Amino acid sequence: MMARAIAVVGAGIGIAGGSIGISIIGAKALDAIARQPSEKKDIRTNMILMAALIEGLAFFGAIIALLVVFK
Amino acid sequence: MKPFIVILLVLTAFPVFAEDSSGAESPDVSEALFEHVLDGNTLELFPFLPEINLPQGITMHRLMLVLSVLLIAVFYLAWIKKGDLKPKARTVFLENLVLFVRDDIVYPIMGEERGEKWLPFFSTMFLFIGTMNMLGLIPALKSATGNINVTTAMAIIVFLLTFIAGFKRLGFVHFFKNLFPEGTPLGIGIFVMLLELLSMFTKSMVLSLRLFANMFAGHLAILSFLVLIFVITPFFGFVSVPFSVFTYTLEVLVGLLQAFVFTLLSCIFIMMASTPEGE
Repeated sequence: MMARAIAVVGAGIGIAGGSIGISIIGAKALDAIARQPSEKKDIRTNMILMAALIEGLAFFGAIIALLVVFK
Repeated sequence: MKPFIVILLVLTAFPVFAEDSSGAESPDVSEALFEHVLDGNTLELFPFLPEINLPQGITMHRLMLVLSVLLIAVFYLAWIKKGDLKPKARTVFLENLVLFVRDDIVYPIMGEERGEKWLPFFSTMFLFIGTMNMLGLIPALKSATGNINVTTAMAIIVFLLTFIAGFKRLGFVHFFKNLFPEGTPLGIGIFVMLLELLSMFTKSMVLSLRLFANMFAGHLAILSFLVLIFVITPFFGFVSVPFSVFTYTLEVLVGLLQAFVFTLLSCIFIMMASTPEGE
C-alpha cells in the first residue's frame, strides 16, 4: 500500500515537471509568433517537436507508476 | 446537434443501472483495465456475445497489424486512380495525407532533391502508425502501437536506416570522421564519438517508448474513468462518462500527433546522421 501511494505521488511530480516544461515552450512559441507572424509554420513545427520530447519523459513517469500500482 | 445531445444524455444515465459493488472487487478492476490494453488471444465483438478464440499463434495485436496493412493497401489501390480529371472526395483525402507528409515533414527538412527519394518510406510510416492508432479507438479492436514490441521494431528500422543513409551519403570512413570533432586530442575525440553513437541509439529507442507510452496510457485513461463507476457508485457515471468522451476525442488528436511526431523525428535523425559537418 505504501509503495502504491509513493508511486502515485511520484507520477504526479513527474507530470508536474512535464507540464512546466510544455508551458514554457508554449509561452515562448506564442511570444515568437507574435513577434514574427511570418515564421509561424517553422515555429509551430518546432514547438510540437519539443513538446513531444518532453511529453515522452512525463509518460515514462506515468507508466512506471502504473506498473507499480497495478502490480 | 439536438439528437447528439439526447444520445449523450442517455449514455450518461446508463451507468445508473450498473451493479453497486463498492470496494470488494478492486483486484478485478485492475485486471479488467489491463485486459483492455494488453495483447490477448480472444476477440470480443460485443459484450453479450460469446468471445471468439483466435487460432494458435495469432494474437489481437498481430491481427491489428495485418488489418492496418490491408486497409491501407486496399484503400490506396481502390480509391486512387491516376489521371482522373475530376477526382472524388475520398481520392483527395488520401492524396492530402501524402501531401501533408511531403510538404510539412520531408521537404522542409531534407530538401526536394533528397526528400523525393525518402518520401515513399516516410509517407508509408506515417499512414501505418496513424492507421494503427486509429484502429485502437474502434470498440472491440486494439491498437498495435500499444505494444512495445511493435514500436521497438519500427525504431530499430529507423536506427539502422540512419547508419545506412550515412554510409551511402558520406562513405564509411567519412561517416565516423564526421562524428569526430575536428582539432581535439585523440582521446577526447574518441570519447565524443562514442557518446555520439550512444546518443543515436538512445534517440531511436526513446522514439519507440514515446509512441508506446502515449497509446498505452491514453487507452488506460479512457477506461479508468469508466471503472470509477464500479468502484465508487453507479451515480458517478454522470461525471465519468463525459470525461471519458473527452479523453476519447483527445485520443483522436494524440493518435495523429504521435504519427506526425514519429515521422518528423525519424526524418530529422536520418538527416542529421547523413549531413557533413558545417553544412
